[in-house]
Amino acid sequence: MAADVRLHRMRLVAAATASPEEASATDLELARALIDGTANAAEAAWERYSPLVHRIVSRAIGPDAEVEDVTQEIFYRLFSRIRTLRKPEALRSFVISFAIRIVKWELRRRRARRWLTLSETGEVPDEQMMVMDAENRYALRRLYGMLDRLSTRERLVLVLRHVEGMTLEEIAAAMELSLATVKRGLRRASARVSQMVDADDPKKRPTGTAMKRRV
Amino acid sequence: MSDENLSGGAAELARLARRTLGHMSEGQHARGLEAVRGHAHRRRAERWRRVMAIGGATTAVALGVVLLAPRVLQRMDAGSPALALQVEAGAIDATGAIVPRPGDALSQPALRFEDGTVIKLGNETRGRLGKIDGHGAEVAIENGSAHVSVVHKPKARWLINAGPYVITVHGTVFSASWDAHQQRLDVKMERGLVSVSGPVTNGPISVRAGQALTVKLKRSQVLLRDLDRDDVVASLDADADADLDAPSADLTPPSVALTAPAPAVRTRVASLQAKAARQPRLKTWTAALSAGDFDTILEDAERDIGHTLATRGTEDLAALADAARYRRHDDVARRALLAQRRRFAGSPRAADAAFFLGRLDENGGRGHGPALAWYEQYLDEAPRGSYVAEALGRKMIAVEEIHGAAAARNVAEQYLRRFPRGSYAGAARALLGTR
Repeated sequence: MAADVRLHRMRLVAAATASPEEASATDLELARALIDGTANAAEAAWERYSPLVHRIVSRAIGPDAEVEDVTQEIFYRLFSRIRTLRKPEALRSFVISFAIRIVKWELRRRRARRWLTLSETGEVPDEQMMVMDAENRYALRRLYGMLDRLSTRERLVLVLRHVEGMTLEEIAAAMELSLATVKRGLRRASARVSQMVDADDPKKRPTGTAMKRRV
Repeated sequence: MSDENLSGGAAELARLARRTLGHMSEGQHARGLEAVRGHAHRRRAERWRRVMAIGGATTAVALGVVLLAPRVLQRMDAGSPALALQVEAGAIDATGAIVPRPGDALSQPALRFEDGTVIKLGNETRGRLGKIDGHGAEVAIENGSAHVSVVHKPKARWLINAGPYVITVHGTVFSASWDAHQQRLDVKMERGLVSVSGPVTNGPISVRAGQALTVKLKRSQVLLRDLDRDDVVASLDADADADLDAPSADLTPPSVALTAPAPAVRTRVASLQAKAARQPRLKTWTAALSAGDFDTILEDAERDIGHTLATRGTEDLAALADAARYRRHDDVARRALLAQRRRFAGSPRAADAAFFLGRLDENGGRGHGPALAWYEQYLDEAPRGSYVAEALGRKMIAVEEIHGAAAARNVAEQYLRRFPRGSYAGAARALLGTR
């Protein structure tokens, strides 16, 4: 009962978090509750971190119905590996790093699947994609089609930097890479994507092509 | 936020991704919360599954090789010669029409293919032979009936177009009739399985041995029935045409009314369900589906739907999705189909699931946009799949609704090139202004 009250209070604090100190304090409580297997701890972790994890997964994988499942999968694995968390106060970093690691596996699995099934993309439209207008949908497909051609590491570095807006230091910590490796990967990925986008610019094609491809 | 290392176009795309991706909907949040709540209960089962996964991975690799080999062989075999065909008691004219023997209008032409498949037309039936290739053929019944006996082969692909309906044959014996005047389709199964799709069917309907399907287009009525044993025997022994002259009079009471069941039908459904309840529980969902026992499947599944979707095999997920579609439990059908796609990605059933999801979105009021995305997905994944004609037709309608007639013309042309006599051929020609 006391644990429930504590978690409820924690959720309220989390919802109105104003400072990093407060966030860290609730992280510490939440991490301990998860490690102890306290009732409702998993639920509180979901409430607190699912939007962040969902955002990372969605932007790294692209518009895909499996985003929801991968997000849930990250939490399942997180719960079963929570005991490996060394610094309970650094729960947020642990969650981000964990999410990125699983996204990396997922991207590699997809690459293998594409190879095994020869021509299938393995892509499934997700809810957001479905409500989007055709032009944006096409543009996103185009972007993620290009990202598919990068290595998994380069793709993640590029997405975390240019789409998610993380700093180079944050990316290095989350991906467990050196800063120099992140910089090198980002430079290479940015140059390749820029080159692909410029070479595939629909504005340079004859009129009507874009419509045909959309349809 | 820094885009300094990206070119203008690439930075624009990155901004679009940032703006449009990553927002969690309330539904996604709620579903996740429910899943997390149930997680503890499933932990034990998950642990066991992980152990099994090691064995499963080995099997998956072996399976991958087994699955890949036929696909590669199939590609190599794509140019195999068309099946040889002999026409008994008739001939095929230059337009593809199957005509009776000259001077004997009452003769019943039969198409006998080299793989053993026989399609026999009924009296005064107007039929037409469409495409024919090394794996099967497409035969249209424009008015009248036919008795079809398809020999099951792994790569076989047979399509019977009965009026606006497409019957996809998976190796089976059945009779089909289309009454153009009454706008009525009757399919009566003797052995095997067929899928029927077309107007008012709300997606393809599987008809199995011992079942009969009647679609009354004028009344928008779809009835899937169980046949009595005697009835099946009679149809096997009797002349197919005599049997089909009165397509529904000799059938047993309907077990399932898919659309707007009349009160009398509902009573009969109830009595049949009571009869089913007295019988011992069926072992598999596939068997339950064949017996029309959709409620048993749904009851079993809904006891712990999360666990069901996570652990059941591909066949059971397909059976659950079918049962839920037939009973209009759209939410369950949707989840089963999504689980099929997630867990058995790359399989033919996963591809089919994309098509069914499109139909659900279209009929469930989610609009043409989501449905269009699913149809495109299906057509990408299964360019030679069983539901390609239907998917392309629905895509054409959806594109017209969303982007207008001009944009849909491209799809209409594509449709007519592939299915000049398909169910949507009229709509396609209307779009192109050639009718």
